[in-house]
Amino acid sequence: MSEQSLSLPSARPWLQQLRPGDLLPIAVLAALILFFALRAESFLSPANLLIMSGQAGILLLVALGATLVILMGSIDLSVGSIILLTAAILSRAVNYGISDPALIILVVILVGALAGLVNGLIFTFGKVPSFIATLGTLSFFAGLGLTVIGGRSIYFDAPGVLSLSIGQWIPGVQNSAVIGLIALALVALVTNRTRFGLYIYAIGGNERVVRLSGIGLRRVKILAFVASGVTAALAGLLIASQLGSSGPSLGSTALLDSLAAIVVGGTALSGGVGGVGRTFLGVLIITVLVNGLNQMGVQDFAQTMIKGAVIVLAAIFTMASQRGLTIK
Amino acid sequence: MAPATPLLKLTGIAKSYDGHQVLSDVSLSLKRGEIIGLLGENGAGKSTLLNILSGVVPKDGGEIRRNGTVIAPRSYREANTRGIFRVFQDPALIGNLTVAQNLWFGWESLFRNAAGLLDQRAMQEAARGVLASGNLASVPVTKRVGALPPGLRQSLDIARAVALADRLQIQDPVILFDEPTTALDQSHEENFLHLLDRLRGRAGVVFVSHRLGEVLRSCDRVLVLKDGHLVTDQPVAGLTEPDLHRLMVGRERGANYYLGDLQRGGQDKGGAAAPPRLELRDLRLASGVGPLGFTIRPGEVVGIAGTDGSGKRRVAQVLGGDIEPDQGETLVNGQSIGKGSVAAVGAGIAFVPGDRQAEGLITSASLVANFQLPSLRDLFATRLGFWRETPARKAAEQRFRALEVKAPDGIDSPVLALSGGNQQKVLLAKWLERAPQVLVLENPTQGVDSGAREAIYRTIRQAATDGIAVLIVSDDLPELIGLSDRILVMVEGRITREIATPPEAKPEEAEIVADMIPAGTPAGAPEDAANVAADQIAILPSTSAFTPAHPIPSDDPQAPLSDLARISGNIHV
Repeated sequence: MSEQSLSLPSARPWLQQLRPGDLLPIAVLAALILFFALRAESFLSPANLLIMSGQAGILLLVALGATLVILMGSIDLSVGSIILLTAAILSRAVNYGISDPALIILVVILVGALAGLVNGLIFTFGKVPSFIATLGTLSFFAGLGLTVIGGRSIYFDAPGVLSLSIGQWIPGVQNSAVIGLIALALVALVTNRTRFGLYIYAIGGNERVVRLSGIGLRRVKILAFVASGVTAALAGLLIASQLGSSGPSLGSTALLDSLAAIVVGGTALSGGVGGVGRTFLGVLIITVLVNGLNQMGVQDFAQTMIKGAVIVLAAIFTMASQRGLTIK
Repeated sequence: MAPATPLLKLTGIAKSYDGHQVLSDVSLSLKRGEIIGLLGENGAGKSTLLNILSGVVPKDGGEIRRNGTVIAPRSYREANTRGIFRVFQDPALIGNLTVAQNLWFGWESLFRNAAGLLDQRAMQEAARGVLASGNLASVPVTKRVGALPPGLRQSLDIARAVALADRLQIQDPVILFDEPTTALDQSHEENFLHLLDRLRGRAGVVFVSHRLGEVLRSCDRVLVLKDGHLVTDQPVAGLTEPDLHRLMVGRERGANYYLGDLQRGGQDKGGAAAPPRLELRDLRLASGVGPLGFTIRPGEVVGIAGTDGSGKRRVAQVLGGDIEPDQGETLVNGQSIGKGSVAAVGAGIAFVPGDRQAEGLITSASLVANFQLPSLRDLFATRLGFWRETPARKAAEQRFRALEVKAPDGIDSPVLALSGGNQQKVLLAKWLERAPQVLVLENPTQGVDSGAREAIYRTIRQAATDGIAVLIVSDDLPELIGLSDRILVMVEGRITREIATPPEAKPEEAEIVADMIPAGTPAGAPEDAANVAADQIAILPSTSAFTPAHPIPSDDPQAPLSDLARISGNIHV
C-alpha cells in the first residue's frame, strides 16, 4: 500500500503511513457491512458470504490490472470488451474439444495479453491518448467477441473449467476469491517492490521527468496495458466458468464497476497516487454495496442510482484528502 | 501647497513564496504625469511587484491606494477596471487569434450589437483606430498574431494596454511596462519612446527595463529593488548609467564567489591522444541550430552563452536526449552513443534541465523516490527488477546530508515541501549518484537563494575535480564567466566565438554580451549593445525565478502566448 507518494519507507510499519483520509474507505466499508447486516437477514449467511467472495474475486481481478494503468495516469476502457472476447473464444474452444483447464487458462492469458498489447501499441506508437485508443478497442474487441459467438449465448460443458470459479480449493471460499487474492499479492509485489512498479507511479507523477531520467517509457506503458488485458481476460474466464456459458452482455458492467472500485478506494484517475491495496478496499465496498442492495430487495434501477451517488461522493472525499497530501 | 493625491500609492507591500520573502515593506507613490523606472537584478522582486499591482498574484500585506481609495485587485481584469494596465514581459497575446481579437481580448462585451452578439466589425474598426494612432496602421487587423514577427507583437501588446485604457474611458491610467522593449527593434523602440511621451501628459507609468540608457532618457525617478527591499528612490537628474549599475548590483561579492581557486581547466588524462570526455559532432536541427560541434575534456567546465533565441537550450536538450537531432552525433569517451534519453543516461550523461518543477523532479513524490529514479536501471534494482530499497535510502541520506538538503520529513518529504534551492540540490544529487561522465546543467541556480547557490557552485567544482566534464548553459552571465574554463558564444544557432576564461583572466561581462547579439541588430554605442543583450539574457530568470508552478521554458515561442488567457481573470484555462 504505497499511498501518497512513490516512497515506501520499509523502516516504518505501514499502519503509521496511514493518514486520516486513508481511513475513509475502511470506515465506509465497516458502515456498509453494519447497515446491511442489520437490514438484510441473509446478508451475513454463509451462502451469501460465499457468493460475495466469488463476486469480489472477479471484480478484484479486473480492477487490479486497471489500477496499474490508472496509476500511470492512463485509462483502459476496453476491459469489459476483453472479458467478452475471452469468454467467447474460450466457450468456442471448449466446444471444439479443448477441455483441459490448463490449456484453457493458457489460451485465456494469451488472448488477454494480445488484446493488451494491441492497446499498448496503439497508445504508445500511435501517440493517441489512452482514452481514445481504448475507446476504439472497446468497440473492436466487443465486436470481435460477438462475431465469435454469433451474437448468441453459447453454452459449454467442461467440469474442469467450471470448477475453476465456483469450486472450493479452500472450503467455504470460492476459487474466484482465491485467484483474486493471489493476483492481489502478485500485483502488490510488483507495484511496491519492483522497478516496473516504481516507474508506473513515477509516470503518473510526471511523465516528462521519467523520460528525462533515461527510462524507456514505451516498454513500461505497454507492459501495464498487457497486465490489464491479462487480468481482464482471467476475469472473463471466471465469469464464463461460473455461468457455463458466454453471451453478448458478458462483461458489460465490468468497466464501470472496476472504475468505481478504484476511485472509491482512493486511487486518483490523474495517476501517481493510490495503489492496489486501496483498490482491494474499493472492490470490497462495491461488492458489499451491490450484494447488500440485492439482499434488501432494492430494485435494479434504484441500485444503479445509489451506485452512482456513492462513486461521486467517494471521489469528492478522495480529491479533498489528496489536496491535503500534496500541499504542504 | 497641498500635495495632490497620487495616482498610485503603495505602503508596506510584502509577499513571500514558500517561506521565501520576495518583497518586504515596499512603499512608493506615483503622481499623475510621472514616469518612474523600476530597476533591480533578476529575482529582486520587480515582476512580483507588478504582479501584485496588476492583480495576478495577491499581496501578503500592505496597502495599495488608487487616487486615494484602497484597492486590492484579484484579477488582471479587476485591475483594468481600476485603471491599471500592464504590458507583460513576454507579449501576452494569443497566437491563433487575430490582431483585433487580441486587442480586445477579455473585453469583447464592449462590442455587443443590438442582438447582444459580438460585433466583429466594430471590434476591427476600433482596432484599426488604435493601430493608426500607434503608427502601426500597416498591420492588418484580421491577421493572426502568431504570424507576426516578435517585435510587432510586442508593439501590439503595448498598444493594447493603452487602447484598453481609452476604451474604458479611464482618464488617468496607471500603465506598467515590464521590460517592454526586449523584443523591439529600432523603429518599434522609437515608437514606444514616443508613446511614453504622449502618456506623460495624463498617465502614470512604471517602467521596468534593463536598458539603463532608456531609463535615464525617459524616466523622472528611479526606484531600485534589491532582494525584495526598495533601496533607492531618487530623481533621475544627475544620475549616470554607472550610477544606476552600482545602485542595482551594490552587493559586494566575495572575491572567490565562484571558487576560482579550485578551477583547474580540465585534466589531461592519457595526454593529448586520449579522446575528449564529450564530443558533439556536426549537430543540426531543423529548427535552425547548427551545424555546430565542440569537445569537453575530463574535469573541464565549459559554458554556453547566448540570447534566448540562440539555440543554446536546444544543445543541452540534445545532449540530454530530450530532443533528437536531425543530424549529428554525441560521443562519450570517443564512443558514439545513440539517440534519446535512455542512451544518454546509459552513456553517463546527466542532464539537469532548467525547469526543475516540470522537467527535473516529480514534485508530488518524495525526495528518495526522485533520487533513485534514474538509478533504478542499475544501482537500486536487482537484475530481476526488484527494488533495492535499503541501498537507495542509504545513498539518498548520504548525498542529501553532504549537500545539506533541508527537508521537513527527511528523505520522505515531498519535493514540493522544499525551497527552490533545496529542490535544486535534490536534482543534482539524483544525477551525481550516477557518477556521470558528463554533467549538463541548464540555469543551475535559477530561483535559488544565495546560500544554496554557494553549495551548488561547490558541487560543480567538486564534479570537475572528480573528472566529470561539465557543460553549463546559463542566462546568468556572471555565473557563467565565474564557473567556466571557457565559454562558447552562440548566435542564431551557431557557435560564433570561443572565449577562454581562466581564473586569473576572467573577461568582463560586456565583452561577451557584445558577441551575443545577432549581426544586423541595430546597435548604437557598444554599451547600448551590451544592454540590449543583457536585457535578453535576463528574460528567463526574472520571469520564473519566483513562479512557483510552471516557469516558462525559454525557447518555446508558444508558451508565453497563453499568458493572456491566464491573466485575463474572466477565463480559466
